Amino acid sequence: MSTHPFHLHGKSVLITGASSGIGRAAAIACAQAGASVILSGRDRERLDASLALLAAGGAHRAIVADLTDPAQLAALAEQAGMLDGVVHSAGVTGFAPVRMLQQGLLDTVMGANFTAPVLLTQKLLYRKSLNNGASMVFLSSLAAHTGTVGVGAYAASKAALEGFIRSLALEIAPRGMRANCVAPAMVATPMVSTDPDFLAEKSRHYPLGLGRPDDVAHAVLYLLADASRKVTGISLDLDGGLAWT
Amino acid sequence: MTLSPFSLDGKQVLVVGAGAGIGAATARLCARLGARVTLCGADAATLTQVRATLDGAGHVVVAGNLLETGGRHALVDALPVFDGCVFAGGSADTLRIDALTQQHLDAVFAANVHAPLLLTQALLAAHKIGHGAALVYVTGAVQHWAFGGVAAQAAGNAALNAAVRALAVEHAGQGIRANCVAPGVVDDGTPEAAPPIETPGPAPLGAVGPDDVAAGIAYLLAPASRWVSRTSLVVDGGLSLHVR
Repeated sequence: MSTHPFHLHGKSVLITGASSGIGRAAAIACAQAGASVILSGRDRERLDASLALLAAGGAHRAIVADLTDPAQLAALAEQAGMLDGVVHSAGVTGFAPVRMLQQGLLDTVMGANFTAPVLLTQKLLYRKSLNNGASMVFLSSLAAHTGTVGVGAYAASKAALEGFIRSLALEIAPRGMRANCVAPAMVATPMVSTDPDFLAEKSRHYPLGLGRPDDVAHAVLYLLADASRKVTGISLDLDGGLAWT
Repeated sequence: MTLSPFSLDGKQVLVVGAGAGIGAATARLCARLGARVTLCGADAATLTQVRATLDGAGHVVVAGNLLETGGRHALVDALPVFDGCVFAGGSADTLRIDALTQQHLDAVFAANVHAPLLLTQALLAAHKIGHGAALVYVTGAVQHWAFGGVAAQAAGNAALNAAVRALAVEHAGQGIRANCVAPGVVDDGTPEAAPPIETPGPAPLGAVGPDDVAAGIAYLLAPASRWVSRTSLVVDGGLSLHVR
């Protein structure tokens, strides 16, 4: 079904954080849409489990890497090959009221959510690993736009990412390359919570319910596909119609 | 192969302003994605020409004047129940504040704000918008950069955007989603009636075509955007990056 512009046939897409949650859903959706997917994550076993879920037909691969380690990040950039799309979905949360905030937590959150995707982008651009017209999608968060108690470091890391992509979008536009964020509100993933009572309580605030990993994956698909070839530097809100965003 | 999340197979989609530009491109893409399209606009002959370019069968032309109450109600009566509605009509000449008149402001707001909102109201009242339907309103990225001469147009875009966000809250209980697409300067091949007073220069990614905007609209109509409401998707080739 490639008579419409929403497919990824012939495209090679690298997805970080692909061993669970949104990254895994994005990998499945991209493979389904015709892409060859390179999955990256820290845990070999869970990454292989993701790989096993991908549609047959594409030349899918899994590369284990901890992106907060410079050597492993460089190795991933080297092994990924030529790319048409990158989905930066590796990330961590981190809860601490500012009064209790420590350098260690700040470094962990900024390192995983901001520094790693920025440096991976730098490496890929420097190595000329991105084909003309390539699309990069970064996982921001509703938290970048709204205030929530206790998630200052996380919100800052995502807001930093949104600032970063606007510069990036202008720098790469001459080659038809694009950079965008998706900013989801609460999606039921292992990163958020595995407690059904907590998720049910949160769900009451959302007119359209909590998000599913697929909802984010499909927005990512739109932003990777040629359907969005003129969309760049945006942050697409995905929030189930939440009234206060 | 499983159904693409972007498929509109079997869906009834209304496209207001389907006679040209973004509306016509949207009608074509929706039809290609499997929808049955109701093409709506002022001129039946133009709409019929566009309908002839659509894939599939069962597409309907409904011509009428959306700017007045009688026209709207006659139109709504003739329509089926929709799974998706796209409001793409409306445009505005550029005019500096010094030269603005009440008449110009009224005309811009009547076409770009009042018509889509009151047509939505009429469709809702007549139960022509189905449970879980997606509504998409075409505004303009000009509301973000607001260069000289676009006061009325930019104000209309911003007004519609705000109204759509309220609409989305009010009708979320019926599973209805409402979003905006904000195109930049779109080159649809037709010469401009009045040349703009100022232009913002070329977009970083080059000219935006009607098909590019239509693809964003189709995403917001499709099951792929099941969880998206109250948002505004900017499709401007990066033109408003400096001011966002």
